[in-house]
Amino acid sequence: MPFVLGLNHRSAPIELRERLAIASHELAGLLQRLREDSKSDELVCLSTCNRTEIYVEARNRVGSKDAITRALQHQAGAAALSEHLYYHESEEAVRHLFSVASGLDSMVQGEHEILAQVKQAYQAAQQGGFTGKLLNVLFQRSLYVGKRVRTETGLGEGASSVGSIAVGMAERIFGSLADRSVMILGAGEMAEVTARHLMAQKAKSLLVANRTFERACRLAEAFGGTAMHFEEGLRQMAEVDIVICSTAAPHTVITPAHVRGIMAERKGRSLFLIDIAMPRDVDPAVNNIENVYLYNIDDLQQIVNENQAKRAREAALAQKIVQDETREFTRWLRTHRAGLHQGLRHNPPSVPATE
Amino acid sequence: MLTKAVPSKWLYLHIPMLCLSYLMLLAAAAVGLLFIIQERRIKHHQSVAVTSRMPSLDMMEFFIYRMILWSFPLLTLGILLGTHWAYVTRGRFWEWDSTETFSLVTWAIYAIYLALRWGIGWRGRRSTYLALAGFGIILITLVALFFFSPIHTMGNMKL
Repeated sequence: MPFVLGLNHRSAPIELRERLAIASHELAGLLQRLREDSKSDELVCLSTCNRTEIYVEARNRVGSKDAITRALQHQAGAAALSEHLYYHESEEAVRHLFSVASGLDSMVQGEHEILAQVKQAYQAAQQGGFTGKLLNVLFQRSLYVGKRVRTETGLGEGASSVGSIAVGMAERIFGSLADRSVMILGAGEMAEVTARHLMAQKAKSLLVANRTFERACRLAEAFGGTAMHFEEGLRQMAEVDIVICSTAAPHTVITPAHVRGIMAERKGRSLFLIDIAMPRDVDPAVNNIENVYLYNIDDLQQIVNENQAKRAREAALAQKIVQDETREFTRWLRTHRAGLHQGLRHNPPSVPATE
Repeated sequence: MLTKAVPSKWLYLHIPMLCLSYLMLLAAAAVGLLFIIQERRIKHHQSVAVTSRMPSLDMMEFFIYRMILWSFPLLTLGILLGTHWAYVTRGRFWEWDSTETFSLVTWAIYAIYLALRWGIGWRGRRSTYLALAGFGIILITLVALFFFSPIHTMGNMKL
């Protein structure tokens, strides 16, 4: 039965993870030392920026665990390590690896990078001759589970902040934002956050219009945009594609009549209005104008909530896959454990396929 | 039926030209349906608008426009060839049979679409509805062509 010893972004602070991060060229040396010290039969070391984990198959599990802990402590130097280490064995170790490979254990749940990292870690160990029957099957199986979760669930899909939803909608309307210009009308704090998201997509230009011109200048400078007076901004709205409204005005500043005038000038090109002011800046009736898409903070928050619910559902689905695969793998393992340790040649019919 | 006199083979281009233009207009209509669906989702603040992998509204709109733009000369030329064919075989350019009438309506709808788009930049949901209506008329034209038109007797046509 395999076990895993390691630490990750939840169990250990970054200073400690840095010390235990193992570069790919050091990997073979480390595995070699670990094998000699711990008398383990099979070893794989998975080291990414968020985790360092050693997967082990050993006849003397306790001795092997102690030896590896000592080796890791050596690597960590004076820092306290033991409280940050986790240890799983048998079925729990299998489940852990499957969770890691499917991205359930990642800092950003559902990210795809980890599957490739698991693959590299396995290949490095396998090429060095550090793996045997058990870890070979286990790691190949984990790659399969990771792929299964990726194709069968929407784990990690769906943006989860108001800013990223705003960007997503903008892209659904305009496609690439590279030749689109953005205007911030009233430079509130939320406007800055949303603008940062949009400018991260390399929007062409940014205009900042504010009643206090100094504040407009500051914000424009931060994003490499152009500052202007508030009234000037209202006049220039026809020139931009996305307007983020965030004024402190106590009443609506953008009326349907104003937007109709703008749309006539724009010759039907779509206009995306993001109203994150409280109270609202844009008359809700503006959304009824053709080719105008108005989102207020509640509309965006609503989508964020729906996405979060969806994420939770997909995570549950992924966990179920991991659970099922873990059970199936351990069942297979129990049936063939004797064979593994005796080193018998056999070709069990129920070996989990890798593809 | 008066099908004996077919003087010039290039008159046959009447048929493939219209077929090709109808195919492009079919593509425009299919994307038009997607556009209507996605535009509705975005307008109504539905989260599925973001999670779905549909192309952007702008891209779909431009595709529809381009399809109509390219098919329009073919449509025009195809109909003109038809009138010439009619003149050669029956001595009259236009007889207002059902296929001819609906073709003219189709042509008028897409002409209006293009004129408004060029003139006032008319685009979006309503212009897409117009493009869909145009294709609806094409479908009626084809029904008329196969079942009701005395001149366009596809059923017993011998090429």
